[in-house]
Amino acid sequence: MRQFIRLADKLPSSQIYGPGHRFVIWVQGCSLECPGCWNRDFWSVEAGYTMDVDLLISEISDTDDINGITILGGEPLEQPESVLKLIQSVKKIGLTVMLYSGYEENELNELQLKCLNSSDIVIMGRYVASLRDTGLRWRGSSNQKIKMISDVYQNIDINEQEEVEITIGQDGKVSLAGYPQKWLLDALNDI
Amino acid sequence: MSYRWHQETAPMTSLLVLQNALQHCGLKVIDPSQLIEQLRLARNNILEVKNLDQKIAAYEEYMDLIKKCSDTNSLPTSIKLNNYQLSLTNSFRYVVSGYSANYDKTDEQAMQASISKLNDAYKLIAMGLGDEMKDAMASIENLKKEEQKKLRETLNRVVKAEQESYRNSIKDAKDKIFQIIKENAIKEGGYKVKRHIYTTGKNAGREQYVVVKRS
Repeated sequence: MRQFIRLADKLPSSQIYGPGHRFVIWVQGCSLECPGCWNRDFWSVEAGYTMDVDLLISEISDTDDINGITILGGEPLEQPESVLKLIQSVKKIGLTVMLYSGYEENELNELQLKCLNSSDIVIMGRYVASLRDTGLRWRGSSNQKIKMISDVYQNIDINEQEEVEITIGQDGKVSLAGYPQKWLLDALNDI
Repeated sequence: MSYRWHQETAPMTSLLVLQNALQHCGLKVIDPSQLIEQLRLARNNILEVKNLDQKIAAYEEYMDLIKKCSDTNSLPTSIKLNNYQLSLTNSFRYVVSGYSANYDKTDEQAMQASISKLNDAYKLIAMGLGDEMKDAMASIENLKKEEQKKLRETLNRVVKAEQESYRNSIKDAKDKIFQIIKENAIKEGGYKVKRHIYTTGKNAGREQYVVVKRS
């Protein structure tokens, strides 16, 4: 049976959402609606676009030089069937999985827990604006936890650092990921 | 009620492509820069001359001009068109500003449509650089074998020159972006900039900079 996933955006290769180079997928739709969230555009389940999960997997497997995928959003665990299929399929082709969720473990149902336990790294917890810290690696606020699920990255050194990524596509389009400081936004406005 | 508006073009790095796009959209440049005018005349000359030797000479002249537009410095700071002016307010984008005495959106909408057409033409021409020459190659059957060979070789060189010029203009733009980010990162203090250029697969040509500051 064909399965679909609602997406907000994707980036074929990024270096700031987990270890190494990763294919990044932002799913569309989040009912948590954390105050101060940076990705408010990804809350509505009406916005974004749907994609056949098999097509997405094939796009990922055709991407060179990536170590894994990162799924964030939106809230990935609000589309658990599709996300689980995605996780299991990319693991079969030797890629690692980093999963973001605003939920805490005790809030998850069986299927959602299966998504979590099938991943290699999980970043968990609501985004709390008052605890926002741009100096944290991979997280937006200090309450969010990094959980190593498998042993793939067990020994990785998480150097806390502020990271912003600027990508220039083949067509010259400039895109920005991460938490940019004002000086960088100002500099990019001059470009 | 009066109001002001402005519209930005898509990023444009190559004067060669921009001039071609303006011509393609039928946008007449008033008081053009020397290079824009030379490119327009050279392109028209290629179409007008019939004799083989003249044709080859016209292509050679065009190739000399192509070499002059291989970096973003060749982009004019302003381009005056019939109804409005494009100003290069940052490194690779033009901005068109307008003013309407009455709250009438007609002028603004016409300008938006025009810029959107120019953006599309720029993109299409950049993607299909060399297609025009390939079309010209396909229509040279009526020449003698020797002549065909001579013209084909010239056309091949033109295709290569056009593509190389465009690639160089993008490379120049990327180098400038990297430079701007790096200089600002140093000025802010404590930041490092890592540059990664993708060379293989579908991502080839993408460039990524990661600005990092250890906490």
